[in-house]
Amino acid sequence: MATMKTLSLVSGSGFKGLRRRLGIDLSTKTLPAINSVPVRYARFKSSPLVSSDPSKYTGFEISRNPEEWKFVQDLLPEPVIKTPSVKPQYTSGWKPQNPPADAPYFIQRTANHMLPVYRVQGGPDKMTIRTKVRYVQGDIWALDEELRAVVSRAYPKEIFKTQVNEIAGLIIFRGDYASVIKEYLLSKGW
Amino acid sequence: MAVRGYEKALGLLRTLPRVCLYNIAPIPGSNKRSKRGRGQHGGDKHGAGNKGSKARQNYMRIGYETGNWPYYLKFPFEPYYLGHHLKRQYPPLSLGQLQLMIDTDRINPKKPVDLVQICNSGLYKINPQCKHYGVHLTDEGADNFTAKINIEVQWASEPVIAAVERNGGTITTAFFDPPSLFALTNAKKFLESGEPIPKRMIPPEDAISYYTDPKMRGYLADPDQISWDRLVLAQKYGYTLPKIEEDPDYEMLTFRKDPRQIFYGLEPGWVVNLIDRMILKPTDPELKEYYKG
Repeated sequence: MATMKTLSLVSGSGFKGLRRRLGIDLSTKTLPAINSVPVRYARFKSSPLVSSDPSKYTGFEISRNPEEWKFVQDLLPEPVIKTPSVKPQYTSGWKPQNPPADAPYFIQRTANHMLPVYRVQGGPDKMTIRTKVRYVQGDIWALDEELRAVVSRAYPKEIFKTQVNEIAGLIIFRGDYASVIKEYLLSKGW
Repeated sequence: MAVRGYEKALGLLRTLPRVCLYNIAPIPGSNKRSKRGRGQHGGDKHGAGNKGSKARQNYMRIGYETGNWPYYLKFPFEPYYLGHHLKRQYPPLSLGQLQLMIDTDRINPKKPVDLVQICNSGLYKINPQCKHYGVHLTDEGADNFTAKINIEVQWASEPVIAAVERNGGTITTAFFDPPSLFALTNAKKFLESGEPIPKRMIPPEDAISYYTDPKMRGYLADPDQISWDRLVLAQKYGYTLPKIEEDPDYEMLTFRKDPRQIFYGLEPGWVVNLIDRMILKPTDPELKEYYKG
């Protein structure tokens, strides 16, 4: 299939200036290679079709085979994130949420079914490390006290501060304790 | 009787979104831009400071350091960066991350996994415009990898291949050229565009040796040689190779693409119509020959 549209220099009457620039009068000679100037559109995909003649294009057959359509459906992503199915074992370390019944607070999993515990680097030189626990519902102060005890047990010599935002359901630790907190929360079933 | 102006306005207001901080504009004339002052003292320096190149806009040429030996001439040429902007890149995905995606049902191990499935999970970032040529499967979390899958990646090392085959799975390393990668990394967008599925081009000269190597499970390698190397790798790493011939999922585990094919089960040259749920196949023999070879 040709992709270039050609303008004939000889037949058209509006290219006198161009003909003069070429120097030779080509109207009497048969030089098809020189007599055409290719026109390049700015973008191949947006350029008009080469010909309005349908015989220039390929014919096609239509297939509605459901076996072939299965392969098309496998290429389309899931519209929503599904709840993970129950499996006999999870070797990646991930566990489905199974919270204790008597807890005064609730920690909601993220949309990706992960624990909402994050290690955040901030400050002018990105060297101030904070640990954030998000989506806490209920008695956030009870969780704060519990996590403070866990962190001080793991790091007895370290002095750290926490900040509780009750409205946002957010606890911020000054320091890098994400792995300790994640491990503890997973062990408790959150 | 003609509708009054305020009635029209109230009717309009009923259909409009509720007025809040995000859709009100500032009061006209409240934001005044300061004008450049003129006159004896109102004009003054116009924010350009007192004297110097900033007041006169005669800046020094770039790289000039007022008499110092300039930085760009101070250090010799560093050839190890030569052509770094042209090198192929493979953003990493670890076996631990892959296992996590399987555990949380973001990837279905019951079907062949390729770049489309990994990108559709939404947990892997890749941009073919930044010379990203696909997934590099890394060995982090190899000890905890237990899934039995048929996976196709673009780059893998020997321990990764061993970790996949130890569980009875199969792995293939396959090359895709950038136009194919655009289709693979966002398959839905590509199918919606209504363009024919492109054919896969052969790898560049410096990648041919990798993708024809049976040790790397290249897609252009001899299949008999690959099955021999599967056994050799099992003996090297000390595990008994599960017999995939006797596996109930044998068909799935040995399902492969043609070297010219980019999507499983769909041939290059076909056009998919998502709205009418049909596939258009060209019949022109010249076009068919182009997509074949």
